[in-house]
Amino acid sequence: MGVAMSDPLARLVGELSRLPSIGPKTANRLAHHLLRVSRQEAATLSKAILDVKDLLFHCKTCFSITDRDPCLICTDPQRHRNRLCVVEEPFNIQPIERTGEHHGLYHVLLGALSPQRGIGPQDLTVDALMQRLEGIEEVILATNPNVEGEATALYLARLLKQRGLSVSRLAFGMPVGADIEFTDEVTLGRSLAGRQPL
Amino acid sequence: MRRVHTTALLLDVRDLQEKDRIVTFLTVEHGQKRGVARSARTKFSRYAGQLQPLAKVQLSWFEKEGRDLVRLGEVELERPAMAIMEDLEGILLSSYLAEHMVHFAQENEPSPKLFRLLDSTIEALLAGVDRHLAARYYEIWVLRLAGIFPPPSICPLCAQPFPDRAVLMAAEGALVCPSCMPGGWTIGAAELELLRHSARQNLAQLSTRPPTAAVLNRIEELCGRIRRHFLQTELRSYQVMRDTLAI
Repeated sequence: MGVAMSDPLARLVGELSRLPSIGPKTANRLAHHLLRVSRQEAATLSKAILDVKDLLFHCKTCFSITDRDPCLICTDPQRHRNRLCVVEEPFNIQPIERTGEHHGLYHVLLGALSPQRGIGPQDLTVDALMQRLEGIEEVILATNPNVEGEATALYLARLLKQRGLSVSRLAFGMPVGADIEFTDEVTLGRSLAGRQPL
Repeated sequence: MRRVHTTALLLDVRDLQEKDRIVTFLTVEHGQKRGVARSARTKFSRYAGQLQPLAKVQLSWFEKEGRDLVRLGEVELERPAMAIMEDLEGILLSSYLAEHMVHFAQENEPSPKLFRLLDSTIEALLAGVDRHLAARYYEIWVLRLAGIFPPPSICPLCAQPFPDRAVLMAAEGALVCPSCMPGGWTIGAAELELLRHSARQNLAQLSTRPPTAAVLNRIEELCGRIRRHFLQTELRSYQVMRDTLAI
């Protein structure tokens, strides 16, 4: 039987272990680390957590996470305002930004269609997307390559094509550096279906 | 810890924390099961694209007594169902078919008939059978196998054969003859014929003389009413399908 933890420590371990990817052992290690740091350092961490809750919100235009409305991307004059990339979640923007290939605007759906979980179009920011299409010529659908992402892309493509917009979807295929021999049939099949002429 | 190896139809795949996925699947011998596919979300996962809804797979799992979730081992794709899901209607229909099994198949109880129904319906859809007909046939048979909707041969109240129409007795979720219940929601002779034929013919046979869209719509409404009465709720995928396709 382990040594009983004093209440505040047990409470901290309990709270930390509720975080994604943090099991009881990791939570215990983190809690003991926090016990050792200075009060100043602990206060800084605590304030950073509260600031995230107090100061950040969804941009009313693109629904990304921001501390000002409209967000930095929506107000950036250098960005191409005729190209819009649609993603499922705010954290999908950063990976696309890191590619340096998209210089247009973004729109965050805050989810994806998921029939078995009862998530329909009215649960996403589809209406807001349809209301911000003035001046947009191309929409890139960057939803995840799974059934929910595919359903969302097909649904949006149908709506957007009715408005006469050019709609494209992220390509499916093998990851760079992969080997055909070890690629599963579904991924390889999709790569063949989406092959590019040289 | 026990290791099990069998054929399964995947019903649902959802994310679990950072790296894993929870997979719901249907087997002949063990009914519905749920298992964790560890690291299934990582870039070089051994599961890669194999965990797709409605795929038929050979899979193994490890289970500990007293635990609901099993741990998935190897998964080998036997028949992908991606061809059904190439358009929006196909994806929505696939979710609808799968959700039926999530509600009607029992956990850890053999489900050979439900497995065969879903398997043959997917096979028929992959072969190009009309989706509207396949969905209605599937709905009728799910209710039939659940023991709540037998083929309409005689009225359960007066034991007389049905005339050219039948009335849905809402309180029981059963069809009765118009003499026993003069008013109410009715189906006609063509719908009764389809309900009887579906008990004797498979999808391929039914599709040689397909019913009209109006008949299929009426059967959809009938099965929906009986299903809602039985489950006391509507399938989520059915509602999403209606909302999504109403554009």
